[in-house]
Formats: sequence, C-alpha cells, structure tokens
Amino acid sequence: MKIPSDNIGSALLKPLDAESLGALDQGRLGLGPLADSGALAPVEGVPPEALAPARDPGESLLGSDVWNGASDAARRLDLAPAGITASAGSAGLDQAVDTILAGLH
Amino acid sequence: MDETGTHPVVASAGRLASALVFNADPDFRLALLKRVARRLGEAEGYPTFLKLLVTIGESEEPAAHRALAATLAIGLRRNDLPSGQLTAWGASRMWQAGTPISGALAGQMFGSSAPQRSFGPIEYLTVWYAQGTQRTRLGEEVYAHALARLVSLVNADEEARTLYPLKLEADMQTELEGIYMRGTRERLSTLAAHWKSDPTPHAVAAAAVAAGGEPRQVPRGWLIRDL
Repeated sequence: MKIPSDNIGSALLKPLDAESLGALDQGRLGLGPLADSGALAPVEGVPPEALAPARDPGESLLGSDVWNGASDAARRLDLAPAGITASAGSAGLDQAVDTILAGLH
Repeated sequence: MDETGTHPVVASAGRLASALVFNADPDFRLALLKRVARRLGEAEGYPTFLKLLVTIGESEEPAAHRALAATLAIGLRRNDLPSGQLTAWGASRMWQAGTPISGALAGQMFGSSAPQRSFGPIEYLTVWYAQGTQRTRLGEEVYAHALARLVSLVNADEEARTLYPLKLEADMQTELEGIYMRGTRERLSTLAAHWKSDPTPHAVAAAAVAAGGEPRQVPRGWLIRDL
C-alpha cells in the first residue's frame, strides 16, 4: 500500500537540536515546563493513589506478619530431624525441597 | 494457616532450618538452599525465598540462625550464593544503531525475555529497592526491615559476617553492564562500609536507606538515564 506523502513538507521526526540535547544531558528536559505552561492539564477525577503503581506481590509477602502478632520470644520454629540426608543424591534433594515447600504455594 | 494455626511460611522456614541444622555436610546444605531458591523461581519467586530467610532470622532459634548463616558463608566463599534474577538496566545499549538485530537479541529487546542479572539476597533486595526492574519498586519500610533481618542473620556466623561486606565491595569494583546503576553502587558501598565498622543490623539498614537519597519514583515502563 502506498502511503500518501504529498502533503508532508518536512520530516516528521527530527534529531534534537543542540539546546535540547544540552537540556537532556542536564536532566532539564521533562514535563515540568509543559505542565507549568498549561499544555498538560492535570487529570481531574483520578485519585493520586489510583495513579500509583500497585504493590508488588513479593513486597506484600515480604512485609507480611507471618507470626500472627506473636512476641519475639514466642517466635519458635519446629526444629526436628526430618530424615533429609546428604546421601540422598539429586532425586533425594528434590524430594527434600518438595517436603520443605509443601503448602507454601 | 495449617490446623495448628502456623503460617505456611513459618512451617516451611522450620523445615528448611531443620534440614540445615541436622545436616553438617556443607555441600549438601548449600545445594539444598540453592535448590529451594530455584524451585520457588529465581525470577518471580525469589521474594518468597527471601521471606523464608527473613522468617528464620526473625525466629528465636539461634541454632537455625547459625546453620543458615554458615551455609551462606559457604556460598560466599565459593562465590555461589543462592541467587534471584532481576532485569538488567540499559539493555538497549547492547544494540548499536545501524547494525542488524539478530533473532535472539530482538526477542530480548522486544519480547518477554529481557536480559536478566543474578543477585544474592542482600544485593537483590537493594537492586529491587533502588533500580527500575521487572518488579514494582520495593518500598523503603519493607526494604529496611528485611535488610536489617538479613544482616542480623548473616552476623550469626563470623565468617559470613566478614565475607559478605567484602563480597559487596568486590562487586562494586566491577563495571559489568546492566548490573548496578550508580546510585545502587553508592548504596551498596555505604552498606558494606557501615557493616564492616558497625555490624548493628538496624544501623546498617539505616545507612543503606540514607545513602543516595530516596530512589526516584517513575511511572511503570519509563526508563531514567542514570549511569
């Protein structure tokens, strides 16, 4: 398909001029001046929290209280020999990991 | 929760700690820890692995702390820590204008398989907090808490406490592309220096948070040029 180009008098994409390149290097090229000039009006009716990125599920887990509010002294693990031995080999290692992670997913 | 009211994370942390405490073979301990990280998923599931470490660190089980920290010491000595993956920054610099793009590189640039880098627990946590990655950026409060817990955990073993800051300092000397942005290097350098001089976990975490100021919040999908 031929794209009509008769009415295009100049290139649509231009390289940045020297002044803009300098501003980019100095971190001055952004939305600030445009927003200040009113070119980009603030979006109305959208609460700020809706614009914030959703919390990462990993962060939610990392920040969660898995101790049900227990005091430090009450934070005990059930430590006991689990029959996981070094001689088990790779297959045994996989089985050990299955046991360790059971119920976690 | 299981029938005893124990959170699944606590139950798994207990079984992991047991496996480390009751097995003295260092090769087995490290292999097991790495296998757990890999099974959870080094890309998406690594925060769950970190949560297991933090949970063991939060427990009142000194034997578990020592066993886990000693296992991390083995990984540090061998440069083989259980690692998680985050997307590299600056991946577009792999392509030079005017050169053809191979199929594999095109897939990396435009597909779903962006280049990734592997990080140990503290490095992962810090990059997640300080750099733009495939994950939504980690908040300061959770970063500081988890970092303090990990430092406290590592401190349980003298060799690990000595080696981990040295490892971080060595990492900061490398300039491999796509790993650490300038601000992250500053943060990890500060963390390592503070850790060596004052191993108090909360002081180390506070120094890491304060270094380099608050990470810039940018909209999802935006890249900030900050070499």
